Amino acid sequence: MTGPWGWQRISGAQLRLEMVSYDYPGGVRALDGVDVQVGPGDFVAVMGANGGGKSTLLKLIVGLLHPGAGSISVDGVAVSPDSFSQIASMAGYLFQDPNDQLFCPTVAADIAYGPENLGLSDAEVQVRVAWAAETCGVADLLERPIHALSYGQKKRVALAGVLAMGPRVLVLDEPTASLDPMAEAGLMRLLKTLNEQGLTIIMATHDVDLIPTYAHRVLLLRKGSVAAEGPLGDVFAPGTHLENCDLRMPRIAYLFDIFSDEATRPLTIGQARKELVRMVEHGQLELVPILLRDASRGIAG
Amino acid sequence: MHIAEGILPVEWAAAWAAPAVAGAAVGLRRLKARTEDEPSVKSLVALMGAAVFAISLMPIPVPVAGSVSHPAGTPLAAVVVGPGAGIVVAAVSLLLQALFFAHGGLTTLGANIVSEGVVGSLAGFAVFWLARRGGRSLFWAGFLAGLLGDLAVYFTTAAELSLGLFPLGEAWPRLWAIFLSFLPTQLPLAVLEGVLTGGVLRSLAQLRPDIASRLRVSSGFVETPARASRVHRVRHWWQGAGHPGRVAAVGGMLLLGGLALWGLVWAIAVSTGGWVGLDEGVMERVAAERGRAAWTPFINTDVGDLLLFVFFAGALGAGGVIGWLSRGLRGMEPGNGGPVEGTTSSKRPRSLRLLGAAVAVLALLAVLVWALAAPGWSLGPVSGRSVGRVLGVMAHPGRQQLLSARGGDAVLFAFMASGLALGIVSGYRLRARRLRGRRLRIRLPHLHIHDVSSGDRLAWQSRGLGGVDARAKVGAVVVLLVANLVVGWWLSLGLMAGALVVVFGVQRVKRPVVLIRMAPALIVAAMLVLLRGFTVPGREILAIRLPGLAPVAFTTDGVLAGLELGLVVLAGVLLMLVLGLTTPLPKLLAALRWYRVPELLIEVGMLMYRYLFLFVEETGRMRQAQRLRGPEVAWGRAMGGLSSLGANLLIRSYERSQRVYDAQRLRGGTGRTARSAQGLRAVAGDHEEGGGRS
Repeated sequence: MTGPWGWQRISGAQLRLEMVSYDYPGGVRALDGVDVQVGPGDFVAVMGANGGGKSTLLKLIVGLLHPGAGSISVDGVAVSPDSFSQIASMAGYLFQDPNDQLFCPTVAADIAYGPENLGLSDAEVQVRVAWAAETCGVADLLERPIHALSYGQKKRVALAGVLAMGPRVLVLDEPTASLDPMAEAGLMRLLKTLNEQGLTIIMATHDVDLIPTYAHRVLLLRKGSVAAEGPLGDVFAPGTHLENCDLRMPRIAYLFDIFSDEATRPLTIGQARKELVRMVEHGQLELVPILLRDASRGIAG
Repeated sequence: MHIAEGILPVEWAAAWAAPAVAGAAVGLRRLKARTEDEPSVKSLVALMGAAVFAISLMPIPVPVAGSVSHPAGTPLAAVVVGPGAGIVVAAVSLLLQALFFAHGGLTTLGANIVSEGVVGSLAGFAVFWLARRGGRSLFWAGFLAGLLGDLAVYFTTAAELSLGLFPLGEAWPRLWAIFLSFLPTQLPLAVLEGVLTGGVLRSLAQLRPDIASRLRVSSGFVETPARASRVHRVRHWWQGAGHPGRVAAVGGMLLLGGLALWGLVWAIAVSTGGWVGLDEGVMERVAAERGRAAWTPFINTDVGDLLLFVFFAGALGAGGVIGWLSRGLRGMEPGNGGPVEGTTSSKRPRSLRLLGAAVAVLALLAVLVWALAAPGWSLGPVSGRSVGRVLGVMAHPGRQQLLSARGGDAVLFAFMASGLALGIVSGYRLRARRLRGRRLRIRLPHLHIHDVSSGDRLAWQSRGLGGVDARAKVGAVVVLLVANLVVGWWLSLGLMAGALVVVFGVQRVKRPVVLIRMAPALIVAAMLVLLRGFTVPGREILAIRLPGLAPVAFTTDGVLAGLELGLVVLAGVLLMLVLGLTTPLPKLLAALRWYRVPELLIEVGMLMYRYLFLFVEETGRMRQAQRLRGPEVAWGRAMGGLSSLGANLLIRSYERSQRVYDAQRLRGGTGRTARSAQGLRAVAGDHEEGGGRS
């Protein structure tokens, strides 16, 4: 996939959060000394219970909120009220409710909103709109009014509006919430492709089953502090007390438990994933998606 | 209160456009200035507008008049977003209502903006401000703002109609006559609007004091201890009064209020002479008398004048008593499962006596009406004329004129009979519910999403004319609407035929779709034919002469006159229909942008269009939730529920407006329009022009 404005590969941005704390106006502490680095091209899942500080963290990154203590920078640019527009041009933010994000009457107008604000010519704007719509699979909806779209379509259009800005880091607040399984898979595949192009992605989610398939790293928040942070395998390793963060192991881990022989247990989630990929590549597990579904019914149900 | 398309003469339509434009310009400037301090206020204005639009399209039934109406909404909007922005809210929603639902009109837009927007906002805000300065609580300040703001809107409408339709010398008394005729339906609505405005503001301050103070709704209020204790005393008395005491108190207040109102009506009526009809009915009738036509898009409320209303209400009340008592009797019938709770056999004679009394009252009322309706009738010393004279105002010469203009006394009796029937059924059913231990049912009025979206969908899918530039279409329709007003019936006929060809021949719109949209206009046209047929003298087709009553005659000349007016009505509606069914609203707004309509107005309109559908869906869901959790609600609680629903809608609007603003600036808009914004253009290292102000 090539970008419409000349790049072969997105140069993903780097994020640095240093001892970030944030208090809500009432004095309730939302984040407490969060210290995280995200490398260019990383795919980070931010996880944790409701009220754990995920959304606050994401809003701090794009500058919608400002930390009480500590500092945040995107590619070396400190996030502050003065640098808001500069950060906005680098970091795209996808709201949880697409109805908040889509404020123009039609799909085309909404996707064009950002590029127009970048001061591009009409032709450039059109190229970007067409590319973003094509990428997100909404090219046939361009002339439709927003209110005539389904929820999944709205989500894709909202993402197209963000992508048309040409972001270098994508910040997503529960992008798969309320989506049906097909829409969810489609959206996640799209994110994975973009990530492979070099885009840095930070995504808040509750969906532990999505993580092993797509994310590289996990940031686990518990009551505003970092409970665990690192590669997938480390965070989802046996012994991490996920239940303390109101989470559980991904179902794929249980699934592998069923397939693997006694000798190889216990496996880390990283090993399980590798093993599954190997089995799929060798044609041993062509039915993984179906099995995943059945297994999730059988085990978790 | 919307003055319908086609009712004002061209010169007055233009004259009202001037203050409307001035008011909107001032409002836009105020809004722009406020946007500098608080950029998210623009999205709030649009979302408020969408809420007001959705709420004002929900029909609130006015049972006594058999009509449907809605509050103005602008006093609340003015208190929440400021009077300037209130005018903008009204201007945009009136424009959208005219384009979307053919409610109001394009040539009458100026007059409607002046009454609902300029006067409604300024009066509502001024009253609220004064009341707050005077130490009233949020509820009472809001109540007064809603009540007086609403009445001010209707007073202005009356002024516009009287000026537009009568010679200047006649305008002053006509103004009062028209205003009075609004009162039967509008006074209860104004009280309702007051209660809701006050209730919403109070709920807002209770639920989210932070938002209330940020919107400057609750700032600077000091509750005086004396007033607080007075409120407390009243509440204490109410709680201890018991059922009979409360009924007596409410009944007494209603009686006093009714007497005061009647006195006012009587005084003004005697001084001005003549009565006219209700709300939009008034406009149609008055216009018809002046040889002009009007149409209403939803429901024609041409239900008559004040006298008809009084007799209708009387019959309704009498019927209600009869229905109530007769259900009480039936409850004790043998074989009906024994005595029903609350009706013991000892009560039966009392119920019978009451029923007898009610019938007697009704008979007396009928005799009175007969006496009044037939002044030539006499029986010994008592004559119709003498009875009429005793009642003073009813013998007013205006009555005779009016009754004959209404197709004779038959109309009066038809009103009485329908009021009686409605009263009996309602009274019977109310008693039945009461006996079953259930209370009066109040549900939130509801506008189905389908009603809003069907026209929108057609417009987006439109082929043929849908491809024509919206600017050309808007220009052509405005020119044709004006021509429809000033040129003769032959042009209207031509326009109608042309529009029909376009709708069915070119656009191939399905017949039911057009018929549903045309039904109100067709009814109005038919009523015009009937009205004129009965009122214009000429060769008689049909004449009914009942002894003692004024003759009813239907004439060919009247039919022709009615047809002529009906043509103007139908042509106007069809023209608007062609525009609405072939052009989606965003394209219409974009066309208006080309006509140099201020950008901010267009922008607010676009945002309103976007969020309108969301609001209709949201209120629909809230209503369903309300029904599922408690379909049977007492009046007081229902009003409280409506208030908190309104406050919740307001809170949601506010919160969403913050998020929408965030979404805008994240994509480079600083609350300004995309095309004109500097936004992120300054990104390349230069922050001065940046969009990061927060």
